[in-house]
This record gives sequence, structure tokens and C-alpha cells, in this order.
Amino acid sequence: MSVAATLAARCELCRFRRDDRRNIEQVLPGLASLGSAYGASIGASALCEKHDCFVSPRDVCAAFQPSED
Amino acid sequence: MSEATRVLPGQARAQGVDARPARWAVFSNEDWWSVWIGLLVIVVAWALFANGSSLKWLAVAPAKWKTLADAWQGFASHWPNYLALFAAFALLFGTGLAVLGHSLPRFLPAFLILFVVSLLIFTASAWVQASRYNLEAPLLALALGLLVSNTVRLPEWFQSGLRVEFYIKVGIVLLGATLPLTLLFWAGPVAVGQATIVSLATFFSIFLAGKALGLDKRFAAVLGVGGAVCGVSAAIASGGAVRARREDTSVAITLVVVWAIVMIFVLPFASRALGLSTAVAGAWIGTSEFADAAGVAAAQAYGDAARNAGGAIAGAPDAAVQAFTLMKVVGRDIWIGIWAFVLAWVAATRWNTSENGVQAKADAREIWARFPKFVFGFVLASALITWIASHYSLADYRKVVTPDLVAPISTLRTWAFTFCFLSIGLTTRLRLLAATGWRPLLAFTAGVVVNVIIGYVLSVHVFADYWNGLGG
Repeated sequence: MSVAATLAARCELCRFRRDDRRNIEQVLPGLASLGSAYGASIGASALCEKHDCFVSPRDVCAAFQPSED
Repeated sequence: MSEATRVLPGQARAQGVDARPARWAVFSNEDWWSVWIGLLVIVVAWALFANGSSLKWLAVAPAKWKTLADAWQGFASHWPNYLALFAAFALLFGTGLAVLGHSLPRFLPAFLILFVVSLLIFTASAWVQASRYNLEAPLLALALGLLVSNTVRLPEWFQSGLRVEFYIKVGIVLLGATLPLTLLFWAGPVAVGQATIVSLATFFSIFLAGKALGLDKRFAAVLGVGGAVCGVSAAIASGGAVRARREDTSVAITLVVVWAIVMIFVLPFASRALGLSTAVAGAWIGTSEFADAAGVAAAQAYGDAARNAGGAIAGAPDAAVQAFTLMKVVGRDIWIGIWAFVLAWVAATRWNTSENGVQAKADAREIWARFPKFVFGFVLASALITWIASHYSLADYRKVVTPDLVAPISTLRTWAFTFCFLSIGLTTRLRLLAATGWRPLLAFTAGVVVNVIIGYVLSVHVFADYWNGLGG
């Protein structure tokens, strides 16, 4: 994949990236008991609905689909 | 006000990585808000003090009482103060949470309930017989919260007021006002040295045990950092850094929460049984607890026990929380960005691309991004009060500055901590925690054993003199 294509297909722009702190606290039981999705430690990580894992904005994968926003 | 989302605005997508424009960065998370709130309180306290007044009127707390009539009289004669205190807290916390995307209509009634129950707990712990029955406020708050949340179905809106991490971070910033900067510089290197030894030993114990038990490397790493560095925050940071599966991060969080709550009760009890001084116990708790909130609960419980023990526990009561904070915050928390970056680099370059095919690169900007910014507030608070104190003799500092400036800040800190402890209990619903399976449990427990033993040896034998110097 070319550099330009990689940049265009990154997680930051993908429809599967769910960057929602409230949702993260709901789907990770116990997170809000002794932690928080609103603190600094989470950084720019967000959940990928496709792979059900944490991703960072510049990550890439073959399942990329552009967000509608 | 919309519920919390951080959906990237369309314009920002074309610009780069961060969702928020840079000008909002210092209002973008609970860490920064705890810095602003904590420092605002200290600056206001100082401004009043400098003008011959004090924050004492606002920083009200129940006095010792013998009979229920005494307790009621104490409240009745200070109810305007308590009302003002509630309003001040609601304004400070509410503003921060609203900017972060929480719902104020949900937060305010929830926080009112939290405040009232905290007042009741504070009052109960002020009973002259409380220490006889081990009714220290942190343990009382935690136990009550656990009982309620695990027997009664609490409404969803009530969760909006239970911001554990936010309250503890504000409390820790305010705690900085009671710690001279010179002490930070003196004890800091010891804290870093001791914590580094324990953290590395704990991480590798868990990681290698996890690998031996057949766990995925990324999962083992998240478990390891959760146990070695700063608990839930570390689990979420490392989970993000190594692109862990949500399910694995969830299990790591469960193990941290369960063990952290166990340690809130076990460590103070063990410290008492072993006759440890407050500072040494605080240091041990700082190496062997898994989360800031849980550790402060344990350390404050021990400090409260010392306050009421009539000399049976050596050391100043506040030394327990101070030593804990130095060990945990300075010794462990501040390194989370580095841990995350190193693990991200290892995961990206040494481990297989994760099964899902996500390709990631390690980014050194993670070190700053994940850095616990509230530590700046803690250090700045210490620096500010140290500078103020430099204008007074020691005698005048104790006679004038402590009661009129530092003590009110300490009282507000205790309130913030009480909100935190009660929130821990009320948010910990054991039946909702993820099932862990025996292999992660065993791997994590291996780290707990290593952590507790090495932490004990270093705190009680190797560095005891340093820690006892805190309480002097």
C-alpha cells in the first residue's frame, strides 16, 4: 500500500472506529470502578467495532471502510 | 448536552491524529481538569489567607461527637456551611464533567446523593468510639458502597456522579499542598528506585507466567502492566498500546479491580499486625496496591487508625497517604507513557501482527499523551505552598499557616477522597465483572505474590529509614 493510500485508509477515518468514552466505560466492566475512559492514560486509543480491539488513529487494516462523516 | 462522545469533527480528520484542536487539549480529560480544580482551590485559599481571612468557613467537616444529639447539633449549627460546600463542589466538578461531555442534569442529583452519604460516613467516623470498631471513613465508604451496589439495582443516571478517578486526582492535587517540595525531591528518587525494582519484577512475573500458561503475548503484557504500574489506567493504556482485544483488556481490568479491593482491606490489616509505622505502611501500600484510588483508601484507613490508636502505631497519620502518593504517583504512575510506548514498539516490531490484521506503529508521542497530567498539579501545589511557607518561621508556619491555609485544603482533600471511596464501592458490581478463567487469574496472582513480598522487603527493611523520615 502506498504512503498516500495508507494515510487515507487509517483507523482515524474508518467507520468502524468507535471513539466514544462513555461507550468504552460501558463495554469494559470495572473500568469506571478504579479507572476512567476520560483520563489521560487512554490517549487516542478507541475501540474498533470490526475487530473488537483497541486501535490508534494511524493504524491500518484491510477491513477499512471510510466513515460517512 | 450530548452524552460523552469524541467523534472526530470532519475538519480535524484532514489535519492529523488528534481529534481535538490543540487549544482544547488542556481541558480535554479528567487529568487536566483535576489540575485546574485543585490549583484553583489552593489559589483561592491562599488569596483569602493573604487577606486575613480563610477557607475554613467552606471547608467544614463533622467534629468529634459522643452522642447522636451532639452529632445533630454539629450539623444543625453548620448547615449553611455544608450547603455552600456542596454548591462549591458541584460547581467545580460539574463544570469539568460538563465540558468532558457528561450530562449535568444526571450528574447534579447523583452528586447530591453522593455528598449526603459522604457526610453521613464522615459523621459516623467522627464518633469517639469509631476507632474501637474500625469505622475508618475509607473502609466504611467502600463497604457501604459495595453492599448497596451488589444488593440493590442502582439507576443508570446515578452512575454519572460516581467519577472515581476524577475525585481521586483532585484529591491528590490537593494532597500536594501538604507535602513540602523539598520532601518530594528528597524522597522522590527513593520512590522511583524502589518502585522500579518492584514494577519490573511484577511485570515479568506476570508476563512470563502468562506466556507459560499459554496466554497471548499482548494479553500477558496488559496483565503485567496492570499489575506492575497503575492498575486499571495501566491496563487501558497498555491495551491501547499493544492493540489488545477488548475482551482481554476487560479480564485484566477485572483482575486488577478484584485484587485492588482485596488489598484495601488486607494491607492495612497486615500493616497493623506487623506493627508498621504509617510511612512504611504507606510505602508498602504504594508498591503493592494496584490503583491510586484503592491505595489512597488503604493508606488513609491506616492513617486514620494511627490517629485514633493513641500512639500504638508510630508516625504521623498523614505520612501514610504521603508515602503512598510518593511511591505510587511519582514512583509508578508517571512512567505509564514509557511503558506504553515500549510495549507498543515491541508489539509492532517483535510480535506477530495481531490475528485481526491491524497494522500499528509505535509513536513516541504516546509517552506524553498517556502521561498522568494530574501529577503536575500535585507538584505545583507542593511548590506553591512551599513558596508561601518560605516566608514564615517554622513556629509561625505551624501556628498560622497550617490552621488557616493548609488545614482547610486538607479537609477539602478528605472530602474528595471520601467521594472517591464511596464511588468505588457503588461502581463495583461484582456480577458484571468479566469472567477471568483460571490461567489469567493464576498469572496475575503470581505477580501479586511477588509484588507484595518484594514491596514488603524494600519498604520495611531496605528503605525503612527513608520512609520514616517522612513522618518525622
